[in-house]
Amino acid sequence: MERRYFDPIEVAPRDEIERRQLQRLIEQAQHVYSRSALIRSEWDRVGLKPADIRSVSDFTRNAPFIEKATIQRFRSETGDPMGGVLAGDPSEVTLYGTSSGTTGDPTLFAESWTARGEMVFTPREIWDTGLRPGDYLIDVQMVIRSIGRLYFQDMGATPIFFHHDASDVARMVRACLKYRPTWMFHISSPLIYALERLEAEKKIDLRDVFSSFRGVIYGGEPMGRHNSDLLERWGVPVFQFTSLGDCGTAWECQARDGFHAWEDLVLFEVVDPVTGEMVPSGGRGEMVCTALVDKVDPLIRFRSGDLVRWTNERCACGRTHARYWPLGRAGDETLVNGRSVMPTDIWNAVESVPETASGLFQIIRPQREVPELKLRVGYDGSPDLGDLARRVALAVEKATGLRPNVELMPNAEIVKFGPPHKIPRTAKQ
Amino acid sequence: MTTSPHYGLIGGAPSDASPETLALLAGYNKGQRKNPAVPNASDIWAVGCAETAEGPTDYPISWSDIANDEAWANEMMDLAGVGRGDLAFFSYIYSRSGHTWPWLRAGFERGAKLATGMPTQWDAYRLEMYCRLFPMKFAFGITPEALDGLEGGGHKLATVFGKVQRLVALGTAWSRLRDAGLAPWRLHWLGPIIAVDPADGGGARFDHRQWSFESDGGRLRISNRLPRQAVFQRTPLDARGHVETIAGEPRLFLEI
Repeated sequence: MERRYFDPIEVAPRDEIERRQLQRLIEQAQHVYSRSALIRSEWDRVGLKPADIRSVSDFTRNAPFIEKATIQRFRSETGDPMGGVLAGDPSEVTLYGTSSGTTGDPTLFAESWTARGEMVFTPREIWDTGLRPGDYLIDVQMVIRSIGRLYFQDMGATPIFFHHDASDVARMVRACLKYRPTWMFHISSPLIYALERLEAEKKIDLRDVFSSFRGVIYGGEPMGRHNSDLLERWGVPVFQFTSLGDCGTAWECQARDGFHAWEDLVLFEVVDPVTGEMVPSGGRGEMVCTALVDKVDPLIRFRSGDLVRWTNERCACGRTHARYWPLGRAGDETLVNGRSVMPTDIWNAVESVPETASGLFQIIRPQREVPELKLRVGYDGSPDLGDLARRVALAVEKATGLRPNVELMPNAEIVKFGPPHKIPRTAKQ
Repeated sequence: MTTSPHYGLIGGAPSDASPETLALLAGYNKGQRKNPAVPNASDIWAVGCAETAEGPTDYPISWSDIANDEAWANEMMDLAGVGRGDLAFFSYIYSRSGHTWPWLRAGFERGAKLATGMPTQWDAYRLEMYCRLFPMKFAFGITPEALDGLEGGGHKLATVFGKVQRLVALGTAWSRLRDAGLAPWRLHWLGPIIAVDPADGGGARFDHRQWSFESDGGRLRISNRLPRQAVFQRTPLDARGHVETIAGEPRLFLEI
């Protein structure tokens, strides 16, 4: 009989998870203090030694936060490309990868082909969302991180490779009909837009195309209502994934009620973004993560900049690890005459106008505080641009109370402003 | 439940895997991945994409195909002088993973450090960052789009690539880099394989033990000489050129 969970730790009692977590935290504290120049420097600054950490609360009370700026500062002061994060033997590093990096230099990740504690994904979520040995899967990745790990071959499945770009979507549809794959990693807003165009132009039955799938993984950015409706109409069994504080990723399960943070692998905290105080289960705050088993370039008390709501209540799927729901990126907040605007405040308004229903837009802001809300919005077809700009502005004003200045651009052009899998929702110009 | 140094993250084996299962992972850390610890695992490594005269064509690749392809990639890495500790950057689109994985694996096996990016205008800043932060030995897959992105960002090609010891470029990127005073090799994607021209006048090298080319009125056709999961027999490519024997081996001379 097929197992329900890939790994028993997914449903272990909380005390077992916490026991394992503490054991790994103590080991990791000793490892990073002796091997990571950044951690040694930061901990020495506050007088913290590994021996001071005898409990999780010792750690969360005393270990300083690490921010992206902390790493960048260490990099510029020392010339170390890894910003002092590297904690493994440099000879172990076989691959460098990066975050997508939409502003400035992206964050570097060092990976080892031989380390057993590294992950971007785990087999747990891949199994839960339906991939099985012998299956074909549609594999549509970027070539920027973790290319050395054969996650899907390790699961005994056969990937069919595609370019993460609209230009390869027609071939992808043909492959779905030929190989009848069961799983896809991953679909994104630009690919959904390309499928929508293909459906309209070629009259392809996308319900048939997706009929063999058990799981289609969506990521890159939050999903808007329009794309959600499209995927539902096409019968796509979609699961979303998101970043776990740059220590890996977190995925939805079959219950689709939040993203699971594997707490035996990552110490997951949510803190008040201003005071740094811990936010209890049920509250909202900034996600902070500590890699527990990655010995190569572990991030320790890393402030992700992601605002989340979280809980440690057992999920309907039976898993006992923490779950969270992203609310937005702290860095995405724009202050228009002192008034806070997040991309999610604008999303539904843009999608409510038929010609801009694909939800491809950017907030244009040279700096965080601006006197006027400026938007770049993608459109489909050949509309009267003046009239369309007026209708988009009205919809956004209704949603936010702010009348925006709207610059229109064809969808095919606006998707070029970002990496293949998403549109950067804020842009300097 | 006991804690194991195996965290359940590799090899398709959970963290409570039996010693017998973990024994199957013994070669994993040496890159021997043809035996994941998973019953009913597929014999097919992946389905790749070959650009032929008829457009993009799917083709299955077995685990042994990939291992065989690595032998030639190793020779080319030797020719490029990539060794232990050297940084090698690979730029390609993911659909070409069947072409590039043997090169990546060859790099891993010799202890080189690899980095990857995409050959697009948008991703040019990533290439620039790697060239700036690391002493780069080898940069593979430089495209005209990447150069457009670099120059559009105000970078001079000679500055970005000046310290890269071996550049491998495509199409007009090759001549633009030459014009910038650099000495790139030339890369050709030819159906299911890669050919590399070191620009030494001796033509483009390819894996002639596994593949053969013929010129059909100038159009190149490719065939596999040894059994593989996918059969290519006189498959026409969207490339023109001819084959000559140089130093005892067939070499390609492509019409650019």
